[in-house]
Amino acid sequence: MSWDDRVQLESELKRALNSFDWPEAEAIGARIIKRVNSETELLPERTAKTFLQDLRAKRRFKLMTDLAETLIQSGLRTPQIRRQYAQALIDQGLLAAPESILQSIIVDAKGQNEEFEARGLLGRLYKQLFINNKDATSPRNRANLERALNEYLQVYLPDRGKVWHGINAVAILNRAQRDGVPITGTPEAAVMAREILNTLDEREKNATEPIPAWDIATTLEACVALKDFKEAAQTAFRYIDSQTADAFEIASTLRQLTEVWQLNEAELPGSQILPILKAGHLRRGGASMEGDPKKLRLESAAVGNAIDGLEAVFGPDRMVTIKWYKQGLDQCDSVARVEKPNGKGHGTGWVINASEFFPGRTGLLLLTNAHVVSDNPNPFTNPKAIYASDARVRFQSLGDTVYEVEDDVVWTSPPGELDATFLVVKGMPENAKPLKIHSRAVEWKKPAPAPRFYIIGHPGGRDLEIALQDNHLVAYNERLLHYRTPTEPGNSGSPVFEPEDWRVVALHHRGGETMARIDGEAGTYEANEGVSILAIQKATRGAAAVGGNV
Amino acid sequence: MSKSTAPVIVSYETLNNAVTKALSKDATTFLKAAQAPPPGGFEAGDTPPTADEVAKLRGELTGALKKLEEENQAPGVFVSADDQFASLLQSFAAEGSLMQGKVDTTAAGELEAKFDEHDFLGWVGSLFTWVRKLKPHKWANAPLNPDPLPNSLRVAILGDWGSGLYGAPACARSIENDPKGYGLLLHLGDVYYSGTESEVNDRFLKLWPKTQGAVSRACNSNHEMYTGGYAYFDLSLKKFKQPASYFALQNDHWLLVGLDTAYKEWEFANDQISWLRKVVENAGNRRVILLSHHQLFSWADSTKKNLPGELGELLTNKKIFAWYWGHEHRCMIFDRHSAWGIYGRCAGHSGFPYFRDKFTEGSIVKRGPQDSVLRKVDSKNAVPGGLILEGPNPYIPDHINDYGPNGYMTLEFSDDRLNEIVQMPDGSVAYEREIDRT
Repeated sequence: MSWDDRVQLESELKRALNSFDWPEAEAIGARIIKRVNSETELLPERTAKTFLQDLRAKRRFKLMTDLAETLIQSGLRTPQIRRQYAQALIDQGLLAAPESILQSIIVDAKGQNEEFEARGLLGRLYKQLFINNKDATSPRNRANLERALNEYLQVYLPDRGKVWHGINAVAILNRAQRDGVPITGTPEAAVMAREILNTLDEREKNATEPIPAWDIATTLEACVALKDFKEAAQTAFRYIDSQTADAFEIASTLRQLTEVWQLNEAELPGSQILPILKAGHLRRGGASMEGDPKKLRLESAAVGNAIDGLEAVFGPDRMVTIKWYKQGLDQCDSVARVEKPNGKGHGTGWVINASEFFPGRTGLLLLTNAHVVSDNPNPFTNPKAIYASDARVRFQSLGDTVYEVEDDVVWTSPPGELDATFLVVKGMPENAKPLKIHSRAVEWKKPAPAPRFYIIGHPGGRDLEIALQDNHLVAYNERLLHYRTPTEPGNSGSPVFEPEDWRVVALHHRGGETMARIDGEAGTYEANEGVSILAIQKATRGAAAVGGNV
Repeated sequence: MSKSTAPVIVSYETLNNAVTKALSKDATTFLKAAQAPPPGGFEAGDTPPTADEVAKLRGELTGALKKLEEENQAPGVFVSADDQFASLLQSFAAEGSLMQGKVDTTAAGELEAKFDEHDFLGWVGSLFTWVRKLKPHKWANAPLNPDPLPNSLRVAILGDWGSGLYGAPACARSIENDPKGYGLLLHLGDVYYSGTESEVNDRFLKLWPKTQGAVSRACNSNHEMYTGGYAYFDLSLKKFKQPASYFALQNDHWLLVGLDTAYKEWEFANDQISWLRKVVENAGNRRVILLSHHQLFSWADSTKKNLPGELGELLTNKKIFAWYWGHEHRCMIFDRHSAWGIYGRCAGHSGFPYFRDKFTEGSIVKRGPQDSVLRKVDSKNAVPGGLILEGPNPYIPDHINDYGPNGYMTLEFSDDRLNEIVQMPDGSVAYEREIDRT
């Protein structure tokens, strides 16, 4: 056998990764690893690099590590493969082992591009050690900062075209200054920043194609270093508009700006740049964010302030994405954690306008899954549900008050049907707003790109944490939607939003690796499942019409 | 809202075989099974049971089997114990077997659960998740004003009827087809095994007599409260338009009062006694008839608990004319109580397959339909004597002579007169007498 099928393998892996089909990607990866172990012929390096790059782009670091390790053991010990192996380890927060790997690459690839790449990664590794340590006064930690700077400068100073290394050196010099770490004998940070900007300007002038996203991110950092905040904001907009900037890259830039540059949303330039980047990040496929709901509320307020400031300078057209981001954050106010009497999270619920589901009924209701709360759960098919009288509702972003619900549920449909329960919250918070229901059914015709959805919920019922995740549609029918998330599973009872105007299309209720397919094919696949909100609406309106339990 | 299903028998033999084998697996296997999340991929947060909780569960399973063994009579025949965990276990197994198609049809046409230890290990996580969160339904207060009844009225009384099996469906059909009709249908409680939603639907509401124009009322019972009484309160009472688990109805001559002795078993929970006193006081000279699941006293089974003397002066002042109860699975027409002047009536025989009595006291005074007999016994242990219905049960094939008769009672009110009838499931009359009102 040989690797004649490598193009097909590349394509299969890419397809699985792009559709967030992790079990399939794992299976393909396992197959490749098995082949690498058994083939007499080495996997062509170019294909190996493609595999590893694709895995990294989708943050499948564990599989990337396993594959890189197998490749190295098979004899494919090129600097690039070893560097990608080190990179996968660093991306998993494993910082001790990669150091020696990178040092060996520097020796083996002296004067070649891989030496510079390895030094860049070493710089990143030492920088991360410095940040993780948190103690800027510790001599050992200061040494980490100096080592990082040294690695970056060793690449940048001989070759001023290596702007990525250069801008990292600028960031570290600024950080050292703020932390009072004495550094001498290096060029001034501002001078380097200006030089980098000039290089990038020149590069862009001569470019025949759009410049890479990383160069825009570098420009952004240089503007921050030069305290040119207006240009920084302008560049942030360019960055998120860049077609080549994916969620992973924008997240890396955000990390750099908050962890190394220590920007925050309370003051310039963070108050403008960070909301722009976060908006751009969330807009990207595969994005997710999570955190304390109260902080998300503060974030929404900060974004509101940023919009006020930015709109005056850049005009309303520039505000579309950032306003969309604020709108998304504001949805979190309507999403509550459903708890047991002991305060443990049991699921998610969200506020709806009663009249949209029960004609003639006014006020607000909470919608969650029947397997979260039920009036009389079936012991066999619905053992998890708690009674309404045992359910508590916590709107964490609206004062974190816990509310009881009326004992009698308004309407419920069991898990095997629509898995929905409507509850009356006693003393619903006045500032709770109902989510908007999408009046149109989901539509998707292949080969058009799969529609994306956002889910807001309390993953795993964890305390003080709400997550907003991007998903993409896998299949749908009148009752159900199947979608995949790049991160962890959602949470029962979460609203599933269409991505344009934050209107709810489904009620999330479960996920699994062996969901029965609804795409017309036989068998199972990994997917999350939501119940169409229109199907629920149709049922509640039907029940009201025939005098059902409303 | 679960789908309707046929009543399923969970025999002691099947349960014992599956549970005992499951418990005999190594501790890790059982622990893993008990801690496994319920199937379906539903993501509601739930903490799996701890090892200590699983150990407790093992103890409860063993205890439940022992209780059922004590009650078990004939293989394959419906058995139930006055034990919450045993009843929940049977309800769960019935539901699971039916849903997974693990049922056989018996020679008599009933469905019997057929599962093994592998099935049970797959279910035990869900069982635990369900059982540990059960709690009583919220209490509902009854109105003080009794609902009106006509002065001429026929009342059907069924007790411990909610098996959905044997003589139970026949009783319902006889009531439905009775040419004289009924104005009031009463159930003295017990829907087996533990009053789950599907059990209340399938063993009770679906089979309940569909008598045109009749009012229906249901007493609460221990078996319905084993699941917290949710299906009883939310389905049965709603269906019967009955505001609470205790109730009052009256005409110009009679006051009929149903009491809840199960919300807190063997107690008159919450405000019932003060409510009863007011209702009786407001009733003036009407004769008072009480209805409850649990018994005021028992002649045949001295080991059974009795209701406490909370009724106090209502009994000693002879304010209560008669009391119909169930819980004890037989039919007995007691002589008038010498101290309280009350006519006690046990009618807990409507649908439960109870092992045939083998009394030697007293003598047979009357032979009736379906080879039934009435045995006259004297008072003992301060409990009045009376007539006990004995005989075979033709509705339990292969075990006709092992089990006592099912049936129901009819009360015929005509102004201040009350005629009592004991009827077999086919409607034939085993006993009829006008009660002495002097």
